Amino acid sequence: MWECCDILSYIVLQPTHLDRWIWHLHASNGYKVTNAYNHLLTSTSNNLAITHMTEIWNKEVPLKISLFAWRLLRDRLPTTDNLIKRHILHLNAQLCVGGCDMIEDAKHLFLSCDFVGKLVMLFLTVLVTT
Amino acid sequence: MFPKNVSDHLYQFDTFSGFFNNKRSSLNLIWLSCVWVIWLERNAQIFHQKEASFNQLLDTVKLQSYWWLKANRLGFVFSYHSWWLNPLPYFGIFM
Repeated sequence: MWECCDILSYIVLQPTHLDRWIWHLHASNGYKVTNAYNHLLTSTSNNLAITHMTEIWNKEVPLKISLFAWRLLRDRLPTTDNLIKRHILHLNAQLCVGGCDMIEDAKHLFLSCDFVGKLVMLFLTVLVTT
Repeated sequence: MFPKNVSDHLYQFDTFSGFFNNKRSSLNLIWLSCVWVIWLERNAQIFHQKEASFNQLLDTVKLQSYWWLKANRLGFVFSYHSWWLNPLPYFGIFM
């Protein structure tokens, strides 16, 4: 109750001014879709990932694959480490299915796991030698 | 060089063929096919207790990328047999 009164006490009503919306990024120019788009692109901390983002939207693969890759690059797949972070799994469930005694996260699963992750790495080698 | 993270790996893999767009898009397609197959295999192991060998996974990647190209790329008329033996020339890549 008092908090509300405090907040309201700072507000001075100006009866002669018309109400209007203010876009904080560009208060003088007003809202533009371009500004919002550029802001979203530049404000993300991981710009490297953004530059690769366009490459997963390949028109020759089904959309669900691109969506999957998008989640993978953002590390939003339900890998074991992410499920633990969200308190869905317990800490003792964190090991990779490959039996390699490592925590299953996206990097391990897709790049470094001996069991399945090296598939991508080995694929070109195998192609070249066949 | 071993990539630091998954997105670096995508970048390295895609630029392996140089910067020509059509080849890049093909390698990109292989990469997407690989990560999808790995994910399905991981799920099969966790939820269905099934396990595939490396060669089975590799065959799945080859078959799947063939399907995608055959369905979506204009002028892709190659037989699966020749694709199976050596897919790279169809991407315009010669070693």
